[in-house]
Amino acid sequence: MRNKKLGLYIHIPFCIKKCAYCDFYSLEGGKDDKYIKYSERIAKQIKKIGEALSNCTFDSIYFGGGTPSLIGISGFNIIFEAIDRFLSVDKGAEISVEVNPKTVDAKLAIALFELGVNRISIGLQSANDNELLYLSRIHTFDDFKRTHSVIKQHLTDNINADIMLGIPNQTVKSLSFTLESLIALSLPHISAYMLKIEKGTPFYKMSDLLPLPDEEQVCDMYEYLCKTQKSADIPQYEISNFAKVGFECRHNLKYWERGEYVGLGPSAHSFINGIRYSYPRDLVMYMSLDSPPYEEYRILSGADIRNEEIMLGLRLKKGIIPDARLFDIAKKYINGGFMEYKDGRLFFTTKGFLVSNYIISELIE
Amino acid sequence: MDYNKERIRNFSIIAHIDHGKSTLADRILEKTQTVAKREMEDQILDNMELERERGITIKARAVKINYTAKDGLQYVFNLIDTPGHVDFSYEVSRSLNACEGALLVVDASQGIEAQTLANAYLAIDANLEIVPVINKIDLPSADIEGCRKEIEDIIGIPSEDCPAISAKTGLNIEDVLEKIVSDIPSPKGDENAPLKALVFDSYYDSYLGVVVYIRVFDGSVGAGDRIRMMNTGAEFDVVEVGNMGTFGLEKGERLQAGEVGYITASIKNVSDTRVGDTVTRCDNPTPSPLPGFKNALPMVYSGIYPADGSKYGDLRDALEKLRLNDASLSFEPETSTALGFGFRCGFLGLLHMDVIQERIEREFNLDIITTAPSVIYKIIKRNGEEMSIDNPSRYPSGDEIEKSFEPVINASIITPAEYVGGIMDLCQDRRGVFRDMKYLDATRTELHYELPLNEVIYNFFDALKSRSRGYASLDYEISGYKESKLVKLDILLNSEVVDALSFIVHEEKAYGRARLICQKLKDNIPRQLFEIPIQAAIGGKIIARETVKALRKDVLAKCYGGDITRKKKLLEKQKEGKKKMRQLGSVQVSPEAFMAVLKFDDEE
Repeated sequence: MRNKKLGLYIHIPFCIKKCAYCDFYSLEGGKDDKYIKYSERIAKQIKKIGEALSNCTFDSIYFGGGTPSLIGISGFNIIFEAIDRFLSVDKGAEISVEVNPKTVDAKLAIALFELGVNRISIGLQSANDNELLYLSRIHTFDDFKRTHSVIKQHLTDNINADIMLGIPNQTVKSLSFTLESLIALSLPHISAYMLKIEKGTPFYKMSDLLPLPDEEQVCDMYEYLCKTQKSADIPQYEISNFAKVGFECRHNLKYWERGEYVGLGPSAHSFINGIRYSYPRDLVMYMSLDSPPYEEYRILSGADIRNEEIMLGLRLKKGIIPDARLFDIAKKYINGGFMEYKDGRLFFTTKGFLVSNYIISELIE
Repeated sequence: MDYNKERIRNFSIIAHIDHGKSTLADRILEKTQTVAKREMEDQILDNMELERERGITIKARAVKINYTAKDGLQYVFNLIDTPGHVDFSYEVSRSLNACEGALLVVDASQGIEAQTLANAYLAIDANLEIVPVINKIDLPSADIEGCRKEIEDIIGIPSEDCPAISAKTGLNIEDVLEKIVSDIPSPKGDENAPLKALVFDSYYDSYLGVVVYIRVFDGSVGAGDRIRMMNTGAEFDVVEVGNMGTFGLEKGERLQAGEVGYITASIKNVSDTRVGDTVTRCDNPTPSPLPGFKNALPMVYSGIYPADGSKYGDLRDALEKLRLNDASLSFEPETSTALGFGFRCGFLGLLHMDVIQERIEREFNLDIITTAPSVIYKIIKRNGEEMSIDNPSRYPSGDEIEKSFEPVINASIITPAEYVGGIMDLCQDRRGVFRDMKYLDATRTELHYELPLNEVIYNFFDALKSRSRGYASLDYEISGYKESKLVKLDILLNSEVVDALSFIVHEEKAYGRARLICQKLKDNIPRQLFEIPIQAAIGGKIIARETVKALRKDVLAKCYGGDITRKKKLLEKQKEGKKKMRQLGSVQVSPEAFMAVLKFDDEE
């Protein structure tokens, strides 16, 4: 029997308040005992995968959301108890929890530390309160600083902050304030995503009214971001991720490197034994059915695998080792300054990352 | 039933589009028990899917009906359907010439429209007995008396006792049948004279070869006879003759004077059996053919290219199959630097063009790119050489041209009076020359304009409809050529001329159209990694310009929680979109961009 190394993703689909731009599966409100019930459901699923994957060990665990910190000490206790009982977890495993400012106090931080959590990702988005207001976030930058110091004091230094480019009213200058603030707090990791107006979100309905920065400005922001992080010694290792050497997120690297992972919770995705599958975005169904149906279930073909290697591998700054076909198509992008080819690897430049969808769609089969 | 000329009635049904011609034909078939009701697939005579959808008849059909009249006698009706559009007025006139009478169907709520009049005039020209029929009297808006008055005032035929029916509900259909017996004369002609028969339709059957629909005027024809097509000169040995039954051909012995039927003679090519030709027997030919034969000439040309260049062979097969049944479709190979290998196709008119393009896409499942329609321009060069040009890319440069000529039409437009102003503006804008205006009645007006065909093929019909809320109707005939100041407008993408986008336009309209096309292209060319200038030029002179800005970013979204599939689908979709693109030099252009240029609308 092979001893596989897997990642475990646990989706916590709850938020105090849903943000106006957010398209992830997450729900507001509900009964008080929902966190416990949900944690128990996840514990049950953990038992199930523990039995089914008894020959595997887990070297990364990631709590994503929603706002995982909402399930509180009792919720985490239930889930970690099941993890300890039913899964074999590597000693040095990376265990991350996403939190939002204002949802972590010293008690929770200490509890998470004791449960073995060793990486925290904080949803900040911006250090400018007026931008946070536009995003309908429930916190200010001061809230973030308090949460950050609690975590740093009681839990870990391995902290990420999510930030966003293209927020209404954002400028390169205001982004620069956000970045400098985080550098000053010596955060070893940041993730930076562009605001995308997704169908079905409140932002979609009011997109005409939002003072969104134009495309040129957002491009300038991205270029500024890459440059600033590089000079702060927090280099880019993925299209949207920057880390001090050694602080790269191992769980997320699994996604880009096509490592295997099991996802639990509604909307969670899994990739194991050459199959990608996911559960529907439906909490009630997930809670009530012992074996929730798959929303998507795909046995990857050879072409799927090759295309994934390209589209995922090129998200990484180090890029991929191209075959002759790929290299041939890539030539014009190398000449155009969108890609580079060095030491046998093909990778995007900053300018290329900005139009990577366009180029990757040309490169895949 | 034995041959009895006195009991034959040959007639057509003519009407403006949507006035209920096909529904009446169905009802007649049903009432005469030619088709049992349960066997009726809607509108048997229109048996092409496309025809049924558009509610128009594109090709003529015929059917033989037995009817026992109230006088107790049995009659044979030959109903000859006619194509319902101006593009096919020659075919309509030939079908009418095969008849002694015509039912003129008028919608009781719409009254007389442009094609009602045009068809009525064709019927009068063919010396037919016209039987007006007022249809759709079940509609609340039906105005039967107003309609009678219009028929008398405008067409000038008596209508006090004409049938008022509802073909939809079947009301008063017997009145129509009895009118056919009483009013439409039986055919004349001498069955012992030399054979003289009119070809009014033909189609290709893969077992029988070409099936030729004829009306015998004199003499008779049967299997074994050697026949000659008097205009094309082609000769054949008749294999089979018979009648057109409702569900197919019914083999018979001979066709005699006054009868309508088909002949087969192992004919391979529909172009040997042109509509309007006269069939006679080689052993005893008639001295002179029937008058009125014309070779139907294409009036509108456009390039048709496969959207996927590798489907060139499939496109050729499709066109060849369509031509088997449609002698008026012409095509020859052409090459475009922009679009690769394709065909220059000639059509009778715009509808014909639309129908052919749609049939290629639908029946042969091919995606095609069509270039802007063109008419045939005539040019006298400075060196005295004369040219006819159906393809803008062959248009000589301005300094070589002494004189240029373009085809013009006589257009007749019938419209409710309140839209006259808007329509006159439209005609003016399309370089129309006002001829006259007639008040048909208190509410409706008939306008006559001479219009360049080149203007009519650019969405004139749509513009007319939109300016009249759909009420105006149009009929036209080609009236000749007129000298005109024409220029060739070239479109350049990234400084390279895209031959497939060139077109001929009147000097005065060049600037406006150039700006519009550049704008349209800008909106339809996806942004690429470099800036793309779009220019319009006459000769070497740029007269309009737009720029597609370079793409600087697409969104860097999170592959959240390992959701790889969503991203992959997005990229694959993008990839699919790119596959459909045409590479013009370094620029990728979608087929939609070509279509957008073709379908632009001045009314915007």
